[in-house]
Amino acid sequence: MNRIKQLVITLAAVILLLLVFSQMVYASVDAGTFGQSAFAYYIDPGTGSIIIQVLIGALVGGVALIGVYRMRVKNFFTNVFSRRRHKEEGGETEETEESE
Amino acid sequence: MGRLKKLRKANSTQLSASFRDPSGFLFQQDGIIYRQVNLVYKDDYDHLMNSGLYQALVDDKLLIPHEEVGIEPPAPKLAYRVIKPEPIHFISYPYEWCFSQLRDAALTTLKIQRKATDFGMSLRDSSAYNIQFKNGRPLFIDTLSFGKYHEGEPWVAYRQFCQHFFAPLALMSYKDIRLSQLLSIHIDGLPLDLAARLLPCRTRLRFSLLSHIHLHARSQKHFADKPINIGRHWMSRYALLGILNSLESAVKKLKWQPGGTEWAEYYQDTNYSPQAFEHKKTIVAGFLDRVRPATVWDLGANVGIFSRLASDRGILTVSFDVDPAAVEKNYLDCVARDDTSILPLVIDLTNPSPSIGWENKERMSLKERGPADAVLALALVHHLAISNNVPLSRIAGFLSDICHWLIIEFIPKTDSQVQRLLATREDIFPDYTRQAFEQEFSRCFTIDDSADISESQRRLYLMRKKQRESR
Repeated sequence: MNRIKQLVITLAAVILLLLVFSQMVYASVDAGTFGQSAFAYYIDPGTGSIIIQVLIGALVGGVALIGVYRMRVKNFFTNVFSRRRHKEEGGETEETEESE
Repeated sequence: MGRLKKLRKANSTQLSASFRDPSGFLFQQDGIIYRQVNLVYKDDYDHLMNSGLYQALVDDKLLIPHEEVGIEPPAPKLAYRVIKPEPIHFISYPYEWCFSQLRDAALTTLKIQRKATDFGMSLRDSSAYNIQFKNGRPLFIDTLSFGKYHEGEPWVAYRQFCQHFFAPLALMSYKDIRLSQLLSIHIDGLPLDLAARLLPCRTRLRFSLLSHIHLHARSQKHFADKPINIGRHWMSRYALLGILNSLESAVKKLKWQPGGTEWAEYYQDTNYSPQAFEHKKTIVAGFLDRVRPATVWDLGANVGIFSRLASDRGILTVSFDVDPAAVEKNYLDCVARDDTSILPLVIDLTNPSPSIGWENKERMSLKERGPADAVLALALVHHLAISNNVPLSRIAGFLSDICHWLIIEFIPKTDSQVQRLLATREDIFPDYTRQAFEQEFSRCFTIDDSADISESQRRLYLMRKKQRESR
């Protein structure tokens, strides 16, 4: 039963990661709009600079995301295992106490 | 605003460097610098002040503090507020900074951008000229550079950051420290194609340099003159933070040390005894205590040993030297000692910083930033007179333009340091004598005191600028 649960969690994590990445990758190519006042960019941001920034951003942002999610997934599993171990240990103690 | 007291002053002048940003401008009135905030910047200014970003940046000593004042704005129709920023004692420019100063300025800019993003704002301008050194640390001085951050927006000042900070730092680190001087030619930062051509090939193997400089330069060339709608290029907050992280770690990885030597060995090059050295310090300290100047310029300061005599007395001191390694060591020592009164700068006195930029008025020359209350010119005159052939009269003339008091050392030809300068050239300096020195300097200065340094042939003078010369 536990094995099936773990498998489902892992699958969910992978699907989530894929979703996030595909969204980001599409988004960096896709169009999005936001308000901008006429005077907002009195400095020329440079077309080439914006394009390369979006590309580098997708890459390094992706790496940062992997880092964040890797930690989250790792923490999640660590918590699950430590909780189960704790429960098992706690259960044993309770049983011992009861037997006494 | 009932507290506003209308004081129309005809003598307020807009600062010549403050014209690019329609959000406002700096002006000077009765010797005090103010900034007019225009109505067009109202929303952003209110967001900066009300969101907590201003206070957070000021608390972290990243942004210059200001107060709103009730004086009449010079352009009332455009005005929303007038603010009075804290004064900066000495304005310096990126081409006068040593490696670590430019690096610290870059890291400060990134820290500010990161914090701004947390509060829903973003830097619209990351020019290196927006950073000044106050109390020994870099501080962002352009309060109007913050714009509201819209989710998905790329960093508009990314190009500027790479050109003003990352490219010059990479060149100084990978190629030659003297390439910082390119910043005085290219006032809007180093063109990235130039930086890419000058950097060694091996820099293409490092992701940060490959992406932020080499590919960036290619992209600029490829998309040159092609229009862009920034609003249509979506970049997630994660991507923006990724860019900031990448730039920060790249800047932190850039290092520079002179010729691979250890700092400790770099400056031991004196020809006089420890007793003479201590005696020289005592005389200079005595002169400083007599004059009690508010500001000191130490010319040819080396690593700033004598500048510290002034800064230890709480005197605001600018410590100039032509050697980037000496200035670097001076700055690192100041940071380590938390010395807030010294500003070390790279200046070649034989060719001091000129006034540059639009109308030659955007960035001030060295002379325009004076005069200082007192100038220290220790072990300097022989370099100017013998290495650079400047007549003593012209040295006296220049020094009298930049100070009221002068503490100066004369080293005769018989001294081994002067002999070393003469070793490779013919002695065409018959007038380089103590008598001629005193005579020439007496035209511009009154010699108040003088003292021989024990166990040496050197002599120190305390001079006061003659009244007819004062402005």
